[in-house]
Amino acid sequence: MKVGYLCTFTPKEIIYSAGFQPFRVFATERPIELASAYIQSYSCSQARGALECALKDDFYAFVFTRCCDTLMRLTDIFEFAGKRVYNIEFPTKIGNVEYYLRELKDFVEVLRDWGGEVSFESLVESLKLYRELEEGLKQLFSVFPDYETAIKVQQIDVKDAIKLVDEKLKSAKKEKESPKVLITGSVCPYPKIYDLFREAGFSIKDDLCTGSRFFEYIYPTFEPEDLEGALRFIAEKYFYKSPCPTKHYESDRRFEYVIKLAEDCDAVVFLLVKFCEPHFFDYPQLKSELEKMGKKVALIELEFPVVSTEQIRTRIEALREVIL
Amino acid sequence: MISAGIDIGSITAKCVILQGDKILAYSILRVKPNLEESAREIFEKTLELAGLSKEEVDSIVATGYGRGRVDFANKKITEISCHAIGSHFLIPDVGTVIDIGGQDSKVIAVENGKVLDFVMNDKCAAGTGRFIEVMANALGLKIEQIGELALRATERLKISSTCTVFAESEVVSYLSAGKKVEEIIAGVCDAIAGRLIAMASRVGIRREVVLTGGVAKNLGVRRAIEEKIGFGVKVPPEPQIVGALGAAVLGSG
Amino acid sequence: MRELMASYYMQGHQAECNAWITSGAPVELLYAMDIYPIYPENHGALIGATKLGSYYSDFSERNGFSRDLCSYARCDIGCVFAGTSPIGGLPKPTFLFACNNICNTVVKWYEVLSRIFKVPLFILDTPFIRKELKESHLRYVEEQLYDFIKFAERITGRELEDQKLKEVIARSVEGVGLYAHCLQSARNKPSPMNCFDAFVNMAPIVCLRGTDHAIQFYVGLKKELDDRIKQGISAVDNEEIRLLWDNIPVWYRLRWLGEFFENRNACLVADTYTNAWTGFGELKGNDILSSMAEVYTLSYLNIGMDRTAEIINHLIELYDVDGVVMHSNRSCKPYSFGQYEIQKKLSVPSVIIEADMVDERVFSEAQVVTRLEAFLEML
Ligand SMILES: Nc1ncnc2c1ncn2[C@@H]1O[C@H](COP(=O)(O)OP(=O)(O)OP(=O)(O)O)[C@@H](O)[C@H]1O
Ligand code: SF4
Ligand SMILES: [Mg+2]
Repeated sequence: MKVGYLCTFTPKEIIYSAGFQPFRVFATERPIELASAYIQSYSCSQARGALECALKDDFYAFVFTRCCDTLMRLTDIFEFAGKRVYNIEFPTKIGNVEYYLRELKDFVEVLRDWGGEVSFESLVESLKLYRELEEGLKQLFSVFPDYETAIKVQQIDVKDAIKLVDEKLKSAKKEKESPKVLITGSVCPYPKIYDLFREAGFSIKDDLCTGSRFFEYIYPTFEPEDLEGALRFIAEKYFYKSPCPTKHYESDRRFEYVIKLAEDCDAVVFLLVKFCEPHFFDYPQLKSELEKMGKKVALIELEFPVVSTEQIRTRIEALREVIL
Repeated sequence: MISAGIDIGSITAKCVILQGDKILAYSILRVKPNLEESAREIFEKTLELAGLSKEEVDSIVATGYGRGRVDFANKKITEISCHAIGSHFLIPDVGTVIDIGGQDSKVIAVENGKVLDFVMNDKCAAGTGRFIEVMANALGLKIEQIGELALRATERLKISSTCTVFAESEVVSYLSAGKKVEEIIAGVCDAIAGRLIAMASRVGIRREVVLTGGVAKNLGVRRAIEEKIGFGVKVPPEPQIVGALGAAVLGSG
Repeated sequence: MRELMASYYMQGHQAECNAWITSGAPVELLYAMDIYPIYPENHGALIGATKLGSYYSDFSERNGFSRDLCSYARCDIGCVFAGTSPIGGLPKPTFLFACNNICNTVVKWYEVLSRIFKVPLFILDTPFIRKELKESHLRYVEEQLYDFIKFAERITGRELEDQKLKEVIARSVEGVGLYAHCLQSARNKPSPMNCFDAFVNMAPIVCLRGTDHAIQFYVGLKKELDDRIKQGISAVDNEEIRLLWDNIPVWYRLRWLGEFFENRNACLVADTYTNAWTGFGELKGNDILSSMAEVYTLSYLNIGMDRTAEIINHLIELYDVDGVVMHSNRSCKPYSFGQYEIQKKLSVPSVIIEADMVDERVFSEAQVVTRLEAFLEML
């Protein structure tokens, strides 16, 4: 049974270990219609697109993690629309593992109520599988950032996902190194957008929820010995994953991270979803830091579903011409 | 008792002159920047059609965006109430009125001509006549051709954007990709209907559904709405004047 | 009122150390340490009321901040870039203190400020209480309150004294009590005040909560309102329809809206916004920090939709209103998203108008008039 989730901070390992199929919900190619009866049009189209999907497709439940204001309200809206939901209060301020551990324990109870038992063994197995997937994706992306695959694996069984990544890895051809663009933003579930960059002659590196933010982790170094240990492992794993603007970090970890990523790139594109507050707040100051490093920076604003790409193509080609 | 209803909308001015339950005359004009002048002009034109003089009209009720600018009206009332009353006058068992005008679309839940609840489009939502006009313009079509053309399409393209500017660029890029005009226009009609039905679901859709406003004359939009709600809607012979008619009915006591 | 707030801003400029603070944060801790609180949100409201929202926002927009961001933030940051504001700008902060019990926007906004001013920022992270409040949530917030005290003590070199905090809390509770009494005078029929009066008179409970100034101000206001009731003076001459306002005011249209309703014999007797501050009256004098954790975590915008609808229904009953006017506020997503659903849970009819609290560019008078008039006709 599918359990939908929206945010890369969702502990999908726990969902999977309880016997559910974690399914990352994105905006699709379908136009957004029904969703506009539930939420105003100044919400981001990722939220509206996901709602559209939830209203039309079949899910057992949805798991939210505290992220932005939009998703915070969206949980209630999903429930109002008759969906089974649960929200995990992921802290906004990264630091207190004990608190989050408690939230995860509560989540295990919720899954039990939904008919899914989480055991130490099943959770360790799930952790192992997801780690294998994450390492595989990391390898694949180091050869060729394959967004179609990165998006697809978030919607299928992790075992099949591992196989898929393996296959892709076998046939992947190394991209030429330069010029390289760093794409930063929240989600972009349309592979054709990334193709536009390649067609313009760029190789790609990313800082996106539909790319590296799904698989970049610094794993804790201890071996879990019991269920609590495994949950603690997950708490720490997610605290120290690639940072996201919806979280607050001591020191400016997020800016430092993006700046580091940009070092070997020639240009940076902010690929942002219209109305996405967390990313748009960061944009001006991050942009100016990047420009100080001599990077060319461009902003591309998206509304989902992305149907026509011609305007976006023009922007990207213009950027390519500027850095020649 | 002779009463007149004047509806100064964002795109057109309408006037209906009513005697008892008989429509003596009506007319429709595009509004001018000077709304007072538009009001006088439409009133005089309709009087002429009815063969009446101003003095013979017992009551004048104004509605629509420009209602406040009709200085010679006895009463002013919003088009929400007027569309409800006008629809009820024509189709007594109306339960839902969908009025798609130039700048606003409204869904009104009605019972015995009384407004139970209503919703209107939010600001940036593209579900209005102006939206179709912009798209028609981008395609080099006349607004009257749109409906027929849409019906001819065998396939419908997706117009996904809620923003008129974005949507226009979608239309243009379909054109440059060599897509058929009727398929694009059918997509536009579908998009309008989709947004409307979502909006309507906030007040609930109850039969009979009556379509009013200028866009009700657009067969493409009408068909798309019917497909989405799964039954037929009723469209008065001249749907664009229903607001003005409601105003006239209100004035007649 | 005007003098009170003028002297408040003045003192901010003279204070040895000050903190910029969000409207839902526990200001009592600052007052107990003689740290002067500065409220950028209040400043934003003031800019809106002077109809300079788009003017100051423009300074932010030119620096790359999107027009879709919260207009309080845009104006506040804009004033920093402009180096001034209608009141000559806010004094530079010693540190920043943001609590996300009103939105996550403030976290981002204050991050921006901390990079501009290069001063420390403390985020008080309150879990969103969608359903029940859990012990673990409280513990999490309470621990952070202790962290905050250490943080503030380190920066200012001062120490928080228990006794002083107790006194501030006592004043805060007293002030909130008086304030709530003022708001509730609107239960009288006809009401001696409307929500526009409440908006104009809310600054002291936001900014000066915990001081004698707030107490004195609301003692005065209470007396004035009680007198009005005695003399039969009402806010709207011919009160026929009683309404409730939801969301932050449309600051640049206060007077216009006030007259609009008055001309139609309708009185917006109360609102969810100013009523949100009455919740802070639950603070307890003993075990202060745990009570503080609870009260501030359960703030009006940090709770699930079911609970919000319950509260609005309670206000509907308390003030005996006939309908609700909901402001769908582009700037404030947590306040506005969910309104479509809440509408369906209310015991009286409601209408939604689209606007923004400060950015007058998104206000369409004709559209708002049609919606409101149709609503009144329906009632
Ligand atoms: N013959 C026609 N076929 C198709 N569409 C038409 C036709 N005539 C008018 N329209 C559509 O009707 C719209 C105008 O409708 P209407 O006159 O009801 O608007 P309005 O009352 O001025 O606007 P509002 O109610 O929003 O203020 C035009 O924008 C156009 O799209
Ligand atoms: S795209 Fe931005 S606003 Fe939308 S859900 Fe993601 S973080 Fe929230
Ligand atoms: Mg009209």
